[in-house]
Amino acid sequence: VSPLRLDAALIARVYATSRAAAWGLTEERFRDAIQTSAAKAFAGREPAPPEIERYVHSLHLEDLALAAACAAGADLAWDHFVREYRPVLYRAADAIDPSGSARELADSLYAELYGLRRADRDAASLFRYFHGRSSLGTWLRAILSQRFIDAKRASRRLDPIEETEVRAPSSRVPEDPGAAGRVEALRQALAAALAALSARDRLRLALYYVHEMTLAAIGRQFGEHEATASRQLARTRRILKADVERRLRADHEFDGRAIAECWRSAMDDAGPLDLAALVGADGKNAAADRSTEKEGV
Amino acid sequence: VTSQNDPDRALDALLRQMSADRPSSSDCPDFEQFAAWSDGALEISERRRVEHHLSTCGRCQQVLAAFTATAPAVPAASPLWRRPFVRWLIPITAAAAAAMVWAVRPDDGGTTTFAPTSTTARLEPQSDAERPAAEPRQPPPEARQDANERENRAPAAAPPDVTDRAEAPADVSRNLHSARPAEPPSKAETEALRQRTAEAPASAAAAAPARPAAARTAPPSPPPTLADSAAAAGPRAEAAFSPEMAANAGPVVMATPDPARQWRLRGGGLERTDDGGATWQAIALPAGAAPTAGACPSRNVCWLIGPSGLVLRTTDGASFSAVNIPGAGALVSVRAEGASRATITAADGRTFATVDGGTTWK
Repeated sequence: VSPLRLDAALIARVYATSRAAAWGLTEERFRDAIQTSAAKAFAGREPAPPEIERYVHSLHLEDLALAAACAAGADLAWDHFVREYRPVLYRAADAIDPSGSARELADSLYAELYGLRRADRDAASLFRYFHGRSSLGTWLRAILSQRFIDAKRASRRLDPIEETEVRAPSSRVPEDPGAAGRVEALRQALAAALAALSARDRLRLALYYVHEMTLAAIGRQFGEHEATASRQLARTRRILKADVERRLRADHEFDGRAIAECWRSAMDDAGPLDLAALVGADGKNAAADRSTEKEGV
Repeated sequence: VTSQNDPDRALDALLRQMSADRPSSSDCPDFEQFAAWSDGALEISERRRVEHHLSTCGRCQQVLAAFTATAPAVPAASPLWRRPFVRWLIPITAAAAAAMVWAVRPDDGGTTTFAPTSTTARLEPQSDAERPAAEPRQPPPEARQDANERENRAPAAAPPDVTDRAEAPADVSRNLHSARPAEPPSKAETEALRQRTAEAPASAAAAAPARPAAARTAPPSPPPTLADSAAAAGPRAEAAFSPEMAANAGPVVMATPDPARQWRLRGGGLERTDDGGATWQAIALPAGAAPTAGACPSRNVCWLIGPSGLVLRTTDGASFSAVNIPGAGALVSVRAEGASRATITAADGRTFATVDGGTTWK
């Protein structure tokens, strides 16, 4: 892949406004950082110059300059980073896990960010994975959250008791011989209905029902007001229910009474629904997602 | 017998059983992509891919839940009476009420017999407008409590059986729990919202009719009354840009062409709303920057100015970068027509104009 052509005048302009010089970052290094960022964002595509310019202007350039300077070993930049972002990182760690284990992760992150004092610090520092598409604060929170969850999941896998709890199969034997069939029909209909939702709607449902996130938190993440998140959830759920019932009528020729029986049986024995298997984890359906939301910001 | 609630409860039970428990894989967005998604920086096809993945990957959903918990504290929505427009309204309503009293008097036939009872009767519709004059700034404690209760209660539509969530009060759970699934869900919600938004205009509405009324009944050459100060306060509320006002008069609010998005400078920091002022989110500024005024010509472009030649600009509605404006000194006002064109006035009266986003100034 040939490197993207970046207009020298554009780079000079954003270099001037990014405070890169204050950290002693050379224009060449700053250009390299932008180059890496654009290469990832455009993923091998060759965008037109105006598109590149828009992209460059959309970046968090000051943060990118700071990160590039830290990666390059500028002490001034590093001191500034530690002063400005240590509180951010610690606050995030305490929010994830008040018992303090996330703080340990946060501390270990510093070593990786600093590049472990290797001679080839530029290559080793985690900062080289910062591309300015998000703010530095968001990026740090994202790293910390991923590390924390991966550590937690790894330790859970070593814990057989929890594993069986999570995987606990339904032990109830339905008294009504028809019930199992009805539940299966309902589950199939629900799976199809879930797969037909837009990814955003499905994600909202999962965050609410499975991860028990509050409406306020869901709203924050989606850039919506809490009331909007609530309305969207209610709407998705209504669509889902109507779609399930439509499918039961169409595919199984169930009438109202039979559908009511399906719901009742499902209440007794819901059983797990594997979203990854239902929807297809490979993203092939992504384009087919029925997006009912406004696009853009 | 199947009760009408069964389908809803069954659906909830089924939805809670959704899982996507698989190990992290190369499909999972890396933290950079994840952060960019969260900051809304991905172009649409990449965003769709990430969201599709997130909607089916239990590990990434867990990450997202943890990540959301780390969001910087959103400053609590400021109580109504601290919101900027109410601050302006208080003197306006007080002035309007006073003007009303004055206007009513000559209207009474010019006689000096001005029975107190008739005053009361005439002014009764204005009683709301009077109140702020009598009780400056703070509403009575019970009103405050009311407002707080409303804040806490208003918007949540908690789907049923999730009772342990602090932020998800049960008030609107009826919607989701409801036996009337075909009905618009948001009856209770909209009611709650209506109540919430009604708090604001309640006093505004009281003030609004007062001014024309005063104007109508005022004699040809009214003495300089409080009506003048009310009129003077009007444009100030709109402009609200000068540093003294930022210091003395609470937040400076900057509107954008998008009514949902506004910015405000408050306590030396910057906040943004994307829902017309219902919630405000703190926006990080470069260290040490304390802007005092700004102008936002479009949804994502905002120029901020402050003392010692401080000029900041965002073109993405989120991150601000410093713009160099040589030899400017303290700056007092800014007009902007877009990301590239802006005119800034310094405290000594000089103006600086740019047509290239601040690279050069004339």
